[in-house]
Amino acid sequence: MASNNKLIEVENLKVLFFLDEGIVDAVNGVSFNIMQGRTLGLVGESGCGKSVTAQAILRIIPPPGKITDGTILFFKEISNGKLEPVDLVQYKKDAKEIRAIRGKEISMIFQEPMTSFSPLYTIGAQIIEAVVLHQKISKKEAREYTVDLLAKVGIPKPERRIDEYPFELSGGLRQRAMIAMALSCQPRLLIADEPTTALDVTVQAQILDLLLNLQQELGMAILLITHDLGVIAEMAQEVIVMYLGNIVEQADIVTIFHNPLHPYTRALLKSIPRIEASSDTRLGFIEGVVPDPFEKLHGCPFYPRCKESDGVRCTGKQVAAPSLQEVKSGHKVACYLYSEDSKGE
Amino acid sequence: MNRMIDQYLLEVSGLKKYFPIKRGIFRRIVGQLKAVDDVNFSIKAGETFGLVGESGCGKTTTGLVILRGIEPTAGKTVFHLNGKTYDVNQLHSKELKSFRKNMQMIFQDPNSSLNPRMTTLESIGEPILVNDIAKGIELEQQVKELMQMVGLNRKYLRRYPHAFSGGQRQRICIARALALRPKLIVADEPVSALDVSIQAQILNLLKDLREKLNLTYLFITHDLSVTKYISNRVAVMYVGKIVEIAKTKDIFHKPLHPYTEALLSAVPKLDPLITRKWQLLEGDVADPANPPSGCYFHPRCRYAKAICKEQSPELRDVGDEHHIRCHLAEELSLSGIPGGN
Repeated sequence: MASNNKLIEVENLKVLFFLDEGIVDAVNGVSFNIMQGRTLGLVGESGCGKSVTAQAILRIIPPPGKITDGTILFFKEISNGKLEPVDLVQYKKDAKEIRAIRGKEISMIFQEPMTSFSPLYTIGAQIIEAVVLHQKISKKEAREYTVDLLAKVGIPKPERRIDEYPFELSGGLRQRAMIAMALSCQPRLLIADEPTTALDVTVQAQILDLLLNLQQELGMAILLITHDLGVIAEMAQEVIVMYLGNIVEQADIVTIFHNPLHPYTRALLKSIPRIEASSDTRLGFIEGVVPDPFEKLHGCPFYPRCKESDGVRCTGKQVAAPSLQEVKSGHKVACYLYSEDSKGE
Repeated sequence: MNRMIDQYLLEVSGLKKYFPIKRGIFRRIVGQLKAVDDVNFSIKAGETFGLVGESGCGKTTTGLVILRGIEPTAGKTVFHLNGKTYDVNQLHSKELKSFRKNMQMIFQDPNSSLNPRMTTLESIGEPILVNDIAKGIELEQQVKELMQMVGLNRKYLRRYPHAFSGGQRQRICIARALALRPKLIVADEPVSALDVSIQAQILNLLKDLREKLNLTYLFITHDLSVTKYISNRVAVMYVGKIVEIAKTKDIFHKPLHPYTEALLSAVPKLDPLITRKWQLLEGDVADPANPPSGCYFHPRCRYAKAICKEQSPELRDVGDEHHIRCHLAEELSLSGIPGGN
């Protein structure tokens, strides 16, 4: 499988939430690609739109959220390596076409496995349900298959664990069971939304290691959503940094960590306590807070908190938000400090 | 730092908290869950003492027992204040009430630790009012000073919690904890619920306040990087017991306990160019209601020998303020985080 093949192409995706208090631009025209077999990291603070972007791909945005613009092309394999793009935005949320992709070609794991499993059914019953839904096999075969899956994700005594309820498993085992469910149909894309945030560090290391091994074995792509840059550094090859519904920077993993350009990315990296750093160095921090989502900002959305801006071209009534532009090969940044056209479009 | 920090403020010895496990219709006690099991440590005045460990290891219970938020099963919690000593566990309820102003707590989730129906003034002012320290205009003045101290705008005096962001709410909680000029602050995961950029603001604030007000922190967290940033000394807990105590630098760069080593290796490194040497721990944390024999860590320990299964190690002093609960500490050469000296 050629690894530079596109699996997902998102173009100018806009998601709005129509609330009583007003309209929130949760995702404000983002474009990016997910390559086959690669891991794309999506980082940002709470409310930046990273989870909504993932939900848009699966078409599971909760109401009152709506995709209002853009395309999400999924390159579906029709026969022996032949790919055909399907626009996921074209279909209704519960259309047959979407349901055939959701859970089968693209599946998702969530932050808190306790709340994503139903407490009323055994984990086996819940995984078998997904298997029977998407594959033409009998219940009995599905059960054997599920036992194998549970063994594969490192759950000890899978033939016994399959009949246990979610509350009987520890946090780490529950997350493994969730991964087993997500992988049950051998998806081509796994969306992992904060997969280790609720776990302890030693368990986190186990789960990340498991995901890396499974990815190598199954050749799937991973869209890894997290606020934890450490997890990104361990897992991803490409990184997208989001702020207030916009992509502010996109580059390969080494560039993001060693040569970040956007003031937000730089400030974010300086604000994390590092285990390898001396404790005498004072943490940098970003002034202020993420603005209220109802507030409509002119110019660069990061301007009110930006320390590097010269203040001239970044804000003002006439100034548009900076667009994402390629400044070096493969390195895109949305910041007026790096663009030629200082007044936007 | 040239201030004297050798005076101990708090000495905890033999602290235990067992929760009974009850079964059947008569709620017969069938066992004990040893949440905190013979914990010993001392905190010097003016230092930050980090307590780290994974969920369920008893670190939060330790913090609560020290403040007598819950009653200990056994043990001593001795405060040295102004030349006098007080054993918190011996105080009667009335004495305890007046003593409590010396020790305060900051919790993880500022959203659930503030009353949504109380304004900033009421929340921060409550401890001052309850202790008859000030009221009316004077109370308002004191609250304003506290707000300024934690970096909140004074004009938000009559706002309700919902109008603040998570970081600001945590500042309100800190201001409330400071209202009675405590000596010791137990901070239980104070930055875990916050975004990274806000986390840094709060950590810096806590560091500044410690210098300015000569505070002492017991800083409880699961995040090793945060501990390293803020602590002078660190204790590592595993299944209700402290397994290692040392100066921050030693814990991170020269750990002596295999569990500490495994914890350190599990922390994601913030640099994609560092190739990882993951030292994965097998299995799950031991069940505190039914712990393994000998050293609680031995089923997961890659260095375990026969003795580890048979005998429970004691916490012993190996010099240079380094205490360790491991039979093999002297034989092993463990790796910590590179660098440090």
